[in-house]
Amino acid sequence: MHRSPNTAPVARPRRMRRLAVGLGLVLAAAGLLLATQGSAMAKMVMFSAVSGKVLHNGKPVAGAAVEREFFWAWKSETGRDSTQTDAGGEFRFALVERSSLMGSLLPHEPIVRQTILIKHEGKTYKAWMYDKRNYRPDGEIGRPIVMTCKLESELHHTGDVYGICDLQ
Amino acid sequence: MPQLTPTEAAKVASSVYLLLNGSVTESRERGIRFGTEGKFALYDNSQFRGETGALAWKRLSNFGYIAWGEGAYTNEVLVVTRGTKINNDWLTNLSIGLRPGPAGWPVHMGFLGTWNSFSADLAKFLAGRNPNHIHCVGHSLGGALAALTADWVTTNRMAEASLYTFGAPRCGDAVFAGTLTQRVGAANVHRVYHPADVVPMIPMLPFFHAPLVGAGLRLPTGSGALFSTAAHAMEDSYFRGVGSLSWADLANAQRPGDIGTGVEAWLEAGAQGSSGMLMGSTQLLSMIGRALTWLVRRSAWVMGSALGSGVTAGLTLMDQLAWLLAQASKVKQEVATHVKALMSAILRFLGRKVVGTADVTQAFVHWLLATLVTTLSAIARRALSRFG
Repeated sequence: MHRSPNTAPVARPRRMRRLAVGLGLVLAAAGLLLATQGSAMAKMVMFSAVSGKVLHNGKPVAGAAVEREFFWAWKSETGRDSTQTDAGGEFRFALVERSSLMGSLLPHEPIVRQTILIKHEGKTYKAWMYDKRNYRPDGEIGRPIVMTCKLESELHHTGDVYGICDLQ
Repeated sequence: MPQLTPTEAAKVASSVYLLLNGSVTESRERGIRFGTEGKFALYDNSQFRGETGALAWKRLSNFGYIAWGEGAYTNEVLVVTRGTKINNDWLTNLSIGLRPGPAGWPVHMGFLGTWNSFSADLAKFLAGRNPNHIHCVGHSLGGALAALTADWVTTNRMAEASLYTFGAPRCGDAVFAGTLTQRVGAANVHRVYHPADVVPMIPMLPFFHAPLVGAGLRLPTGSGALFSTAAHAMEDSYFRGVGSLSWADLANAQRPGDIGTGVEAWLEAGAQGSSGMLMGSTQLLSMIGRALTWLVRRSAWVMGSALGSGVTAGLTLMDQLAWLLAQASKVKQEVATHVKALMSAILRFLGRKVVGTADVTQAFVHWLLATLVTTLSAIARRALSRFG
């Protein structure tokens, strides 16, 4: 609906003030909560460290592009990095973490959509499709992520992880 | 009556978040399993979008799905709503005010605003269908939305309903919670909460949970000594906490103290003229709050089917509380005794003279509750002005 600027409802500033006061009260209460728990603004792990090996018919695949991406639902933030497999077909990604004052104070459902793709000789392979539901280090599978990806493998589930790779 | 198991309900309440802003098809291409496979037919057009936030911060996003049963679930419908996932949702959680809900009773304004933004999609899906049973499931804000869906389904006699909530906030006033419990049936309301999760404790009075009588199902894991934001997480806290337990297992794991026995003993002692209640005592005020909540639940149960017919939505909340306590006191002597004990405790807290054995009248209860609220507001203002 179109509304000209001079007909904006006068109640809006008061309502906004009330909302701001409400938000302030919740944050104050949450701050108190956090203070009593003795924890500072916690680091939130978006993607734990990953290491893996790419094979094709049992042989290491060198020079394949490996792309990693995460989408953090709480902040609608996307992050990407990429690497290449070495002569032994191996690749490595470091842990990615973020922090958010609001996110550590306000209860919400943690969701980090994680994707790893392998690109080789014009083809794209789904290596890792997973939604991380906590902010813990190694919170994906409860141990460091170490994967072996056979390019000839079918897509399959390992727990809730989906892709062509097998987890150690 | 068909019921989902705790594991089934927790799985769908958790997996609905994974739709993010994509489609069911896109989610399946990522290998996501919703827990509906072979039970409820979930397609792209099963999804509905809802609006959260307030004023200029309103935002539309995926809010859940409605799906038709198959196999053993034929003629049943599943409605799943999600909770707080993104920043904007917190503005909905904060829009605390009351508006008449689907059945006409007062509910949280922010939750109702979100529910109204997708209720037409639910009506469109159900038009021309005749399900036997509708399962309403949700976590957090999604649990409040599930309660509103169950309220709407049963008020309009579309089907029998079951309500399954995890870590849900309080959604409406005592009459809303009481009439919803009656229409759905207390045995079909499964409210699961974690003792360290703060969300089920908000908003405070005058909001109540369904089922109105009973404390809900406390997860037998974790401690309630300290609140923790992590305790609220659906997948990491509730889904794991429920594990493979049955509803009976969860019910059996409840502690006797959870259903208000301490409050009842305190009121009994008060009714017999127990002293030790000090004016302005925070401990006394805390007991008054707990006793008022317990007595309102008890009164709603005593009033039974008269609850929805004897009070109108046009009354203020204070009117409704006073009506409920006074009417229930007339119906049951035991309630009258407890209400008198509570009134005496409030008078002592306020430092006023305790009245003798007069009958509990609506006008007196109203006056006393209003005096208590006014006094507390004045104390709060004084306290705040010190820091101003």
